[in-house]
Amino acid sequence: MAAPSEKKEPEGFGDKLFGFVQKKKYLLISVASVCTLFLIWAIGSALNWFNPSFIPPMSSVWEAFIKTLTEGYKGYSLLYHIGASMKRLFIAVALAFVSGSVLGLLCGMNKVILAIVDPFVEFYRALPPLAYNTLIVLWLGIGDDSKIALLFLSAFAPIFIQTVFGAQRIPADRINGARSLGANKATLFFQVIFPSALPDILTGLRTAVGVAYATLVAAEMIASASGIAWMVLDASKYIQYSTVYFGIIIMGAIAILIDAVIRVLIRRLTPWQEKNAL
Amino acid sequence: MANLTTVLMKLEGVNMNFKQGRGFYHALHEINLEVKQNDFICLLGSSGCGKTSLLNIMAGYVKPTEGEVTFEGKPFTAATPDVGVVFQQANLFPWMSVYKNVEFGLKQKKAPKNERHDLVMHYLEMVGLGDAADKLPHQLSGGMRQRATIARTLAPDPKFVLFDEPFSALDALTREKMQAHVRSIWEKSHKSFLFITHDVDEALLLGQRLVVMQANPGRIISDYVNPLSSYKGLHAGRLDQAKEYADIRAELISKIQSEEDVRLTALAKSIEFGKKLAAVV
Repeated sequence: MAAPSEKKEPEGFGDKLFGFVQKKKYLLISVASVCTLFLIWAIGSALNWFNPSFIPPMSSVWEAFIKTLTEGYKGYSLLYHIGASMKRLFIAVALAFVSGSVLGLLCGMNKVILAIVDPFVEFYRALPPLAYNTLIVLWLGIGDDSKIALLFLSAFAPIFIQTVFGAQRIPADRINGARSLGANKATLFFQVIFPSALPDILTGLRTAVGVAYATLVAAEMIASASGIAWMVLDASKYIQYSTVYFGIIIMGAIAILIDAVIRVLIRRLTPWQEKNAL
Repeated sequence: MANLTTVLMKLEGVNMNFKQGRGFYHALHEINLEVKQNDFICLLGSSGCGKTSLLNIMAGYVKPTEGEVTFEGKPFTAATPDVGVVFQQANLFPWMSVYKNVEFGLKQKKAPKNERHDLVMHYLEMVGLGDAADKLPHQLSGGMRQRATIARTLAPDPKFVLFDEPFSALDALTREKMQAHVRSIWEKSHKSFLFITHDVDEALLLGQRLVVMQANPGRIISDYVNPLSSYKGLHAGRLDQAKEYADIRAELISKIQSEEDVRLTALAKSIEFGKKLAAVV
């Protein structure tokens, strides 16, 4: 601000570009890093560095993508497969969010309830979903219910555990202060304890989505004919590696997208936590 | 306020024990205290003398191990909007604007909306935060946050307000302003204030009554009228204008110093002496 006259001069294109590069420096480095990998892939395929049955050329992956996009995969469009997976994921995470946060808050406030619930959560959360997948199919059948149940179980534990932690670390002064202002039990729970734990609940949600997403493969392994994870598994059975490649790329891109949405959600819902790293 | 000598809160034979290992820690011993209407009590004591335990009992957060607490003649068992508390650290709800924070207590009282608005703005302007109504607590400075807490505590119109060393985390300049603020609020409101502090000057500046506590076990050792409270317009930095100041300050300091403090002071002095000696050599 030493020379305000400089500010008034219209910025040239070069200045603007420079400003943009300065601001988005690390994003641009990430983009360049990814582009480099694709470049190596393209050059390597063109110069026959790789065995095409292991690493197919980019063009054939692209063709497989376009083909699936226009013709679908095994009777259903690509968007249908993505939608089927997203629907399962969304229902499971939504159920886990509601039940995990409510139960977590109760357990965080009341040690007796925690003592009742905690052993079960601690027991099952360490188990790999593939280990009990069969049992869930046995109980719930081969439809969407069992897949949602599997995703739910993987999403529940992180939300529950983080919420208990969040509820336990609410400052006593805050709750006492609310009581002195005349808050009854319901007000205390919904208007003081819940928002106090919200940053932790959302952190739990973010972890839960990641874990549930990783479980998607296990969930869509058994008796499935739809879903993006199933598509990748099915294509690998029939040695359609181009489909496997673009399926994986799509799954990864969706994961990044979901996480970005949750990060925006966290920033919007808990602006007072801004200083804490995200 | 028909009768200024009405007893608002009364503590009789209050004892407080905490479990500690296999035994007990005797935090409060035989506390007897009467808080009258329009009292401004400063509760003085060094750290660990049970000031905060006493506050927790008077706020209704914990029950004493032994003894009776009554509020307006009735047994006092739980926190109520009639007894407001300003904490050591501002404990505003971080997700609510300053306005919503102050409104919280009024909503619990089910005050009508237009009335709520007028009251919130009244109290925010009283503490000089009329312009900060829409800010979130983390956007305020420490002093502003503490002022917002005071507004929030006063808004539901409590009869008795407890302050737990509310200005100990503030810088000297802000603290002076806040002290003047609290004193003038008390003068206007005719409420009873109990102000906990370990700062002798703060107690002399604010209090009408000085209650001194000592540790191990926490007990009240004296309770008297502050001679400085008869001086009008005394300022924080100029307490020495009152002729009683030096004597009463020395007396209070010797009273709040427990044996441990005396030991620590002696230790500090000997370290200081050692440093000086080293500097000379």
